[in-house]
Amino acid sequence: MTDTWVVILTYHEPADQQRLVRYEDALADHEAFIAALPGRGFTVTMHIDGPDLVNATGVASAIARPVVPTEPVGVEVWSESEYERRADEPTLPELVSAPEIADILGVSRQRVHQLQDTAAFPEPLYRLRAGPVWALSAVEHFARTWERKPGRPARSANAVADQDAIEPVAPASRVVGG
Amino acid sequence: MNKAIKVWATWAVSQGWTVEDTADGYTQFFDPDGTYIARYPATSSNHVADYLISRSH
Repeated sequence: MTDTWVVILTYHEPADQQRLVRYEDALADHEAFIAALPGRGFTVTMHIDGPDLVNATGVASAIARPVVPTEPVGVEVWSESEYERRADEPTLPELVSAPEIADILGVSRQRVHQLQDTAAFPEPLYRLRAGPVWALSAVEHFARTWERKPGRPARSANAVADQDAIEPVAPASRVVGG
Repeated sequence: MNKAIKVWATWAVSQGWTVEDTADGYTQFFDPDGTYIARYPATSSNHVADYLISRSH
């Protein structure tokens, strides 16, 4: 059985635009794609038909060797379907800030700031001047595992918005820990 | 410019990249430092994934 495999060969060889274009032209029959890695080298990507990934790697290496004068320092191989899936994957995690977290947890924004002091609350991915931002997946995990203390029922987003406008800041000692 | 890469090229320009069409039918991409990264052929439509994956390296 033959599948299509995507082989990415990584080279640590300085190469300017002219050289990369020359390599790509020389590999045009194989529709190779070459991308620079600034300061490091470049990658050569080829779509190879073959029985398995080991075979595809050998074929791609054999195609590239007469064109690229150095040996690759790395190789990645994926089935074409897995490769396409990875290409469609976001390169950054979905981020949320305190107002979104308040909506997710059904609490006020003030409560979110208080929850940041609890051990189970996730660390922000970034701290911007405008405020910290968190990975949505980490916040969702917190929401699933957070044990709320009784006496303060969860509120809807609308109720939170209404109450945020009139509720005084709660003393931290009263609410920290849920 | 090839339609398959147009959206990606527009996004790249918004991030400070330079995107140029060449006389021989390629769209070239330069990063914000002006370094050549890759080119996209006008006659091919199967390299979009190659571009996206290459940026993760």
